[in-house]
Amino acid sequence: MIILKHGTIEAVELDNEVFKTLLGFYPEENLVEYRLFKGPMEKGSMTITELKDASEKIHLPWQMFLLDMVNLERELKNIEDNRLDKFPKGTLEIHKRKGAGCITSKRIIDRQIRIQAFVTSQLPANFICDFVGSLKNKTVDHAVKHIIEYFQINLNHFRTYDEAEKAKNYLISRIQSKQNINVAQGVRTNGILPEIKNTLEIYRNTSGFVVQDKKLPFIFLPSEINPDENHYRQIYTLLYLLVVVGMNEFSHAIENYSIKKIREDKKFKKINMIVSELFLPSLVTNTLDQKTIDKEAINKLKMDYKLSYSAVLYVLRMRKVIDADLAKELDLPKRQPSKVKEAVESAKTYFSHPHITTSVKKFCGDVATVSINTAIRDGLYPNRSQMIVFGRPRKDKWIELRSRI
Amino acid sequence: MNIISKYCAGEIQVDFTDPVYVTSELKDEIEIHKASFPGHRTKLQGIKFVDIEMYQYPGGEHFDEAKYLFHYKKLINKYTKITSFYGLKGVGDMSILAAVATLLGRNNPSLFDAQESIEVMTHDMDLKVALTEEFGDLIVVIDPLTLQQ
Repeated sequence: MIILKHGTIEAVELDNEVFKTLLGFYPEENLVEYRLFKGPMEKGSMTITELKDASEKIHLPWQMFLLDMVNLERELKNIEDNRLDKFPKGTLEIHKRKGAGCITSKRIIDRQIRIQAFVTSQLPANFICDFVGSLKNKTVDHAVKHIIEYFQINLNHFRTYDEAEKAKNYLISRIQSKQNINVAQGVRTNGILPEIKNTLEIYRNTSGFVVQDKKLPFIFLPSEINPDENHYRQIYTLLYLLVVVGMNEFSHAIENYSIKKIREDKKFKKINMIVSELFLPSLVTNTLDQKTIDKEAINKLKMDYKLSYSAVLYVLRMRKVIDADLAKELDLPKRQPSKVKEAVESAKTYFSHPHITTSVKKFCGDVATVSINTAIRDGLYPNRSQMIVFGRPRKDKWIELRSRI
Repeated sequence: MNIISKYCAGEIQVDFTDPVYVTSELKDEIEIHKASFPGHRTKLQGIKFVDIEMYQYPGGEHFDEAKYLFHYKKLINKYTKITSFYGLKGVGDMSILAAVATLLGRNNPSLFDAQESIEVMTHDMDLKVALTEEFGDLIVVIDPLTLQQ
């Protein structure tokens, strides 16, 4: 039992199991070990001020710690059921890579599901995203053509961007232009996500994922939360996930990238072929000769076609333009994921302090933001909108946000 | 908040001459309401909101916040229809229930002066049911929206 106190006065006994269950709801975050809870749990008491402060830090309503086990489990089951509904068989459609993308925060997934559930509830009953499944029986060439036409992507324009981030933003805006696919991104500003040591570990290992939906599929890119995912890699991930939506292959999870895996897995292979053909047409690579390919040539292709160095290498190897020996020779040393401290520092120096509206728009995605803002203007209950946007009550930031809507 | 919102919009008439005691959850909701509806500020300023923590029993004792937490835990687990954490629904309503239980001095009824009356204004059906079931005739539940329909 944990005694909840008001000041020094004992108020009520709270259940240790409730604490363990609630703090274990996102097991990858290991919140039971978080010092603001660990100490009081060991001591067997905490004040209401301590409980509110600690809950605020981990973005959970403090009132949940007052529930008994039956009621807590019912509350958590609602969230788990939603998660299972979006990720059947419990498999999360996660873009996983050794080191840089091997875990994905279930908290982020739950937040995105909550946003999606709200936005789709605002759409007409007969609204359907007709891009879902539209690539299923198409050849690689036809699929590429369909993507370009459907989203009106001007590849020549895309390739003119000097900065990969701008090229990425161009694609994001095209993909959302039909208002039937939402692209959300990880943010590390304005306290949109909790930032404690354990969660930073998760974020820097997070890659992209898709939250499936017939009306409005969500694509999530890690962006700011994973400093190891540069913009070139995110561009590839973005298109990869778009093809996942187009193929309606939501239950297809990837453990690790490797040429062998790409060749062995038919679906994985086709998705990769479409994405690589879109970025770097075979017409271009067919004219290349292994003898002329060196690091400089790969870097030039990287700059011209906005792919990461590794992705260019993969494509060339996949298309047998280069052999395994040359691929190995040209491969970059394996990167180690940055340490938490480095990740924190890089975030401090890299990110400015945007207005809350910017952070919310990035985390929710453009399509969702428009829908949420409309609902707020139309009188959506503020507590509900705070849970949708922030995942918790945040009076001050909500007032700031509301003033700009 | 529904009632305050309707009152500010001029859709219903409510006598707000007496102080209105509010919990911290309701206080937050009022501040948010002010931000959402700047046009309601003037009317809101005319209502004397007092933090429930400032309430003093006739004998001089203050609102017991430890007891409030005790009641809060008991009631949040009893009236499960009122709150939902998925959409953060009903935390303000639950705070009203717990505050009333505390004001009535559930563990020390002698604190409460039977000459005083507690009036709770709400339009929420689940809260009305819980208030009636929990406190019966000890309080008066007023629904200005139903009265004026």
